[in-house]
Amino acid sequence: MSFRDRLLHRRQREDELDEEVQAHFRMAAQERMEQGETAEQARVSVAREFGNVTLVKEVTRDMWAFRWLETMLQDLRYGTRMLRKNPVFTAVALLTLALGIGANTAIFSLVNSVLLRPLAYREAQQLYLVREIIPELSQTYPTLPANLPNFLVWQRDCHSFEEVAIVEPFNMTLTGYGEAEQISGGRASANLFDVLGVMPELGRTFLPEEDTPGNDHVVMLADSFWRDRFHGDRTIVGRSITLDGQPVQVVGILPASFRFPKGAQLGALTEFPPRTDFFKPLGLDPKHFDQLGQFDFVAIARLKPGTTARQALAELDVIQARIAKDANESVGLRAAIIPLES
Amino acid sequence: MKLKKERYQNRIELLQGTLDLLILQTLQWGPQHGYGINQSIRGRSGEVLQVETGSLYPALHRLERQGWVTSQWKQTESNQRAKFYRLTPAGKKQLLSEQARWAQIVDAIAGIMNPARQEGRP
Repeated sequence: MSFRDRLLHRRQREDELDEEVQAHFRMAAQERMEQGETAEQARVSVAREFGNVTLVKEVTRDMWAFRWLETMLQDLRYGTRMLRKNPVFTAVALLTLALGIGANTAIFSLVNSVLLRPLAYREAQQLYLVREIIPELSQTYPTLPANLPNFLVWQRDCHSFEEVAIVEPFNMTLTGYGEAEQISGGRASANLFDVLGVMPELGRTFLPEEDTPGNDHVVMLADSFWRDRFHGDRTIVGRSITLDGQPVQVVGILPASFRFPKGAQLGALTEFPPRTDFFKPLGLDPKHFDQLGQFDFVAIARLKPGTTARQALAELDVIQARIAKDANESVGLRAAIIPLES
Repeated sequence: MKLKKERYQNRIELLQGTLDLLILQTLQWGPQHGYGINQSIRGRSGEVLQVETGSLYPALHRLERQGWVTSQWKQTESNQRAKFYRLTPAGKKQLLSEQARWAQIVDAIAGIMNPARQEGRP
């Protein structure tokens, strides 16, 4: 019985109850009149005898409520029986529901991590992009990426930073695992994930000594790349893969929620590709870098708790001025600090 | 209004069982409408028992829900359209068990009211 039918049915029962009560009134009145009462007297007596008509009807209707519930239980039992009888239909219905719910959950998760929480880093409001300024070049480049020697000075001298890391886009060629493929990722100081506050899903992040040349044959893989290319094989952690013809040990897998800023999100002249499939340590010798050249790196600093960006910048500008003076170059050097989440 | 309704319902509870028995007993002589059942109980009890309409109609609808009676619209002897209730086979069975229970109650109460007779039994 459909819901509409049930409503109609109830309506019909209401009418029947009305009629039943009216019939009672008529019969009682008729009997009284046969015994000699006038129509008016009979009507009054019967009404008194009957009592509160509305109330009587209401209490009577309450008896149907049980019926209502019983019918519903019956429908439910019938439904369950039909589902059991038609396993294919049941499976399709369940699958449809599951996919619908699953898709919604997946879309929400995606929106949540990509749009609502663009950078799922620990206390992301403490993270700042550090850019360098060479006033003589500021017409063309208002700010520049960081360079390696200056970064090392900041790391050593800047007390406003809890920690500072650098990273640059980096491509490598993966061989020996199916078809050869050029993969894009980043080359980062070993402390990048400490600065961002990202824990690996599997394995570990980089060790400080892995920053030095020759000790840098380790790699961390992005979750999506690990799933696509290595089918989510957990045993890959600790094993070696071939990158640029060299064996490189996979030390960790990044969490699926990890997103690295893309394109020019990290400032002009530092374009990260749409996909960052891997990260490897710097493995660079600072001796090969000029004090005021190769402004190629994204520098990300985590400010000490309670330190404002203005305080950090003031300290950094003093350090920059000193670097420029020590380098004995004819250009000035300043810095800019930009919230990473802007 | 609310209080009044509760009073009616309480009355049903008090009478329940007994009222069911009286209705089923009345219907074993043939189909009858609500007013007829009322009159029959009153007449047979020598005007002592008078069933309130606020108890009678809910009881009839409940008995119908339980499947012990069924109803049908028919013409009365005086050519009135009325809803007639009729005992079902399940209702007849129920009547028998209610009669047995009633006999038990009567016996038990009689035993309390008249201890001498009870003691006199073997």
